[in-house]
Amino acid sequence: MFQISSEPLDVRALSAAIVGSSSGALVTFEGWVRDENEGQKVESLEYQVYHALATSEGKKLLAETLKKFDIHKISAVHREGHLAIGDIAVWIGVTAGHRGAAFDACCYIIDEIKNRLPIWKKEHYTTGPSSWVYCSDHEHHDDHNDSHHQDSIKIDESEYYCRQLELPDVGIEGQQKLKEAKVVVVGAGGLGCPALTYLATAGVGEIKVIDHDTVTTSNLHRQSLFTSANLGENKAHAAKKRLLAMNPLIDVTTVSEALSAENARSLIAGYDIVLDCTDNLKTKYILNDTCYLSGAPLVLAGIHQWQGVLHTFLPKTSETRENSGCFRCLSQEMPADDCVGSCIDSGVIGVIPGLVGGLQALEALRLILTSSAPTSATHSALIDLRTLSVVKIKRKRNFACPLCGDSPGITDIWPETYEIESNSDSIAEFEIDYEDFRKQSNDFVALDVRSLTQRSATDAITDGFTKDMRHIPQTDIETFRALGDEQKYLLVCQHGISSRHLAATLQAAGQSNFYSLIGGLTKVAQQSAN
Amino acid sequence: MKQVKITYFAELRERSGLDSESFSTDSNSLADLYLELKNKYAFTLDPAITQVALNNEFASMDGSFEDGDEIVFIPPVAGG
Repeated sequence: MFQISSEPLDVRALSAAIVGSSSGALVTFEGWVRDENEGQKVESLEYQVYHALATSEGKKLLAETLKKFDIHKISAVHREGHLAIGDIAVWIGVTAGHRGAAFDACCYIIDEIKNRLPIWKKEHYTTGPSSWVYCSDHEHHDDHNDSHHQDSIKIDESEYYCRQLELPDVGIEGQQKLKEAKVVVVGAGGLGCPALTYLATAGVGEIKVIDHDTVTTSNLHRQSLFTSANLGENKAHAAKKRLLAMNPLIDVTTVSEALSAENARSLIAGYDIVLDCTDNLKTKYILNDTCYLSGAPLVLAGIHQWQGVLHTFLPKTSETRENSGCFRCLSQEMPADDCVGSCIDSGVIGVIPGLVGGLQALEALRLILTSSAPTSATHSALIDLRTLSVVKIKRKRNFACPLCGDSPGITDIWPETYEIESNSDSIAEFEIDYEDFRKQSNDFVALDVRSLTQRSATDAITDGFTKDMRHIPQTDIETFRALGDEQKYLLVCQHGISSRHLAATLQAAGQSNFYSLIGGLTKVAQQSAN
Repeated sequence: MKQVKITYFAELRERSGLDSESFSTDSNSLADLYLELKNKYAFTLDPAITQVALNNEFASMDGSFEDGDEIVFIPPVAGG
């Protein structure tokens, strides 16, 4: 049996599968990932396998070995993907009546696997860039007459890029600039996937992908680098595999921890451009401040339903930053993330982040290829994709900005700058827990204030609670006002955020009879499950 | 009374249900105008964290505006 495995190997099970009562000997070989190669310290490595060819060639090899030696059974498994030091990269087991033939056959198989199988190994060194090893000196036997497969693996650089080499602003010189460029993409989600795709295929020589999240089913409709085969996998790792499959001529490194105020500076050090493809304001502010102080242009974007915004902010070191300003020039204080809708609450269709993330890649490529700053470095683009309109809003540095103003207060990245009290952390007087509500439910009329689409996606567990509830969409403010100020109402939404905002608005207008359910239906479902 | 064209973006568009509108107002500053609209449409965002553009240039909420101006209110947009 010959296999390529993306999972760690269970050597005990592999041995058990080939041992029988007639076996007098079992010889196994384990190839391990070691921590150095030719004097270079190795951190980890990665195997890329050309599946169809490796599997057919591996099976052929085992069949040959069975004929050549006096042995009973063979099993060989080769790993693919990212491996750490000490992981087993290849396992071979041979059973035979006597040990001699088993040893010989085992030696023969490992030598032939190294010689014949289209498996490439990329080593990541602790110092210096990673490199593919033994792919150039890898010998294919000419007798399998499979030149087509080899061509598809050994990509010719000038042929790969030939279409864009013809484009004004690119050419050989531009392509070399792209090859030398180093870009960090923070977030490999709806915006990050298209941005990464176009940076990688354009030939940006070194890309770092930062994402701590794992791929879930609800990501697949818009995050185009992933398939169901990646479910549960870290997004940065999964993105890297896909990007290298699309363009093996570049280097991709991954960071599977979240970007924070503590690590931001070191994570972007040495990189030319940073793309903010995150979905939260806190990281956007951390990146804004870090990039400005560290000297890297930042291409920042966000989407809301059918709309998007795109800005490029130039760093402190830029001569033209006067007309660029920074994210803090626009909104100096960092708002709490729960004050604005996210893709979870507001909904998102793949093409919107697809286009806006694609534009982020475009602006990064313009920064690399041309000497003049791209349009979004001086104008923020407000993009409405329902009407295909782009409004460009001119920016300038705000002299009172705490980061890039005339007397800045933010001169370094301090974690406490980004610790703001989330609205959801403090509980307002008009917020009620589900347990408390149940004790006094006769006093209240509960109102479901979710949108129609959120209602249709209701979790079955909470149906009993919402079934007979009157529905008034949260945007229907006049209806709420008409309910007066006497009967107590409990506003219920999905996460307890919209209902709190709504209750606060009504309370401020004198309707102190409106309350909000803490945590919304999500919390009710959790409490019902416990 | 000033007559201005107001364009709503992102969450403000979602809440007001309007792309844009022609609006008559006695407000003097952009912040006052925003508060007037906040009350009308039950916007949840404070003016301190909302951005405003006046005739296609970012402006300060403290600033004033003239009859016939084009004003865009832009909340923080964090989806990705």
